[in-house]
Amino acid sequence: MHRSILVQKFHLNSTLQILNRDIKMQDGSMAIIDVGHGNSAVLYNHGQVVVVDAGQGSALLEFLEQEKITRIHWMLISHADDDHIGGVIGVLSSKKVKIDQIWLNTDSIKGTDIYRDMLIEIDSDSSIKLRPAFTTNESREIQIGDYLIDVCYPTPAIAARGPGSTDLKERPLTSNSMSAVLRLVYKNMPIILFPGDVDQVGLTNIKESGIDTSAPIVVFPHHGGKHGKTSFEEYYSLFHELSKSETIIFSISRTKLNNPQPELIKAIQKISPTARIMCTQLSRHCSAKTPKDKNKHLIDMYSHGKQENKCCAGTVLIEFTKKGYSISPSPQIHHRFIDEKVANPICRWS
Amino acid sequence: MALGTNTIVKIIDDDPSYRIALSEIVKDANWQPIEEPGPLPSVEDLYARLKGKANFAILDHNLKIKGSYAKFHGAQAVAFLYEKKFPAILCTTYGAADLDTMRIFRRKIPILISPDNLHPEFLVIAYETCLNELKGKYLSTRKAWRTIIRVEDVNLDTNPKLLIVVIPAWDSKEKVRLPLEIIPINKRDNYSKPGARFHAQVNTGAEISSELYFADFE
Repeated sequence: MHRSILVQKFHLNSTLQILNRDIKMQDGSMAIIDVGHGNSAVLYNHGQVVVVDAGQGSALLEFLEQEKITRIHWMLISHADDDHIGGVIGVLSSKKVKIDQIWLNTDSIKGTDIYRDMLIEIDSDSSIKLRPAFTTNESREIQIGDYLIDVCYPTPAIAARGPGSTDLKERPLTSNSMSAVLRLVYKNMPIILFPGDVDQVGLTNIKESGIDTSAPIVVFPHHGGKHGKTSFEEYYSLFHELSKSETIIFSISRTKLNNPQPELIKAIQKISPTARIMCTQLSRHCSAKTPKDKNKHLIDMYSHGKQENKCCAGTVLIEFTKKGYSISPSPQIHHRFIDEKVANPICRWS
Repeated sequence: MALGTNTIVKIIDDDPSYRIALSEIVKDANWQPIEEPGPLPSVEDLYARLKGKANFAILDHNLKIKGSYAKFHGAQAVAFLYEKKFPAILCTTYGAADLDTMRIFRRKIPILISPDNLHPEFLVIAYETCLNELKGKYLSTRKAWRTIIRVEDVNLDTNPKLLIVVIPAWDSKEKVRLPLEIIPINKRDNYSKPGARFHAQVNTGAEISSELYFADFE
């Protein structure tokens, strides 16, 4: 082997050892973090870390600190809403975690100060590689061992149009219409879909482009809230046709907004009656009060609602094995909690 | 100190009827209330009345309204007790102006609660929360992180003088009143401009703006 390659390999290995040296997460695992209202997920494998969206507030930082993660190799941002990028600003400002690359799609209609705040923080650290557009062209560029990240959407043509304009068939594009849709693939098996907050126009574009977005697990878009005037049944019908997911995770806050909407749950139960529904926090639709007992059913990872007993499933952990994957908390443990502690669980309506 | 019927809770409120009402809640927690009749000339004097004689204190914020009960605000007293490692909470109704005063001391006020929301179970949790924080173990809602702060507006004609700021990592839509008094004098001019950005330690895990505190301005 050429000496320079050897030196590079040595540097890479020693950097990985210095950063993320004491990490607690198991190799080959992904956590869908209970960040309250917002989305964030962390993939860890062989010393490398991919974060998909960053939530808002300090939840991602708390999670990273508890798991002793000090370096993020790829931070992927689906779109520029507060509840997806607020946590990026938190991580960047904190100076506690090194970020190598940030991928996001430029969002001109956001023209917002929060977008500028984020760019100011990124610009202040010259070591961060910013990729201001990522599309289906970048699919499978990120690979860690057996894990690949598919960029299913937007297509380059949609990204080139941008939010505030219209798509190629003159349908209005909002930030949500071109929210990045990502998919984790393990040993060539699609496992988890991260559709950001993609709306009906986005889904229609995905369908018309014939893009495969199927995955057994999904972090459901928009936290189970309403997308404009589209009915829940119409939206879920198309979403299910594209994703075919069997496990549906809602990343929600008990205190902020009031998701997931019961009409959506009814649509899910009608169209895919065997689907498993998991909410990170206990929806107020399900219980007016939080349980008095400590949330013993939760996994041993940071959940934003844990301290105040606001969790339902809490942070969800997906671990990959030779045979496939497992989800924690398990259905048995999670359902026992729901059956014993939750007054009106909408996920158990039939 | 272990939780039990021997736990003595001092109640500091200038309104006797509130002292009685709070005493009932303390009794419902199986603790022993002691009502402080005042007058309280200083926070040092208050601490002298608590040290070794009580385990925990509940304070109202506006202690100066009825007569000459105290010569300080409850927020100031809770922060002083915090420095002395004595657990205390602020139980008070408040408006925006009160919150400005409280914000100055908020770093050292582990719990701020409305009397309407205080119940025996919460009191026990509040006591444990205070003890944990005094040992350096913070709830995620109370833990400070370095973060960027953006100045939206400057109100120098108000009392106290205020910066209206946004903490983008916390909530980019909510404007927060930051008393200029908290900021070191040598930094105030630079910060007192709409559009200015600076860094400080803020508990960005806070659920609501009344929980936010600011420290270590850069």
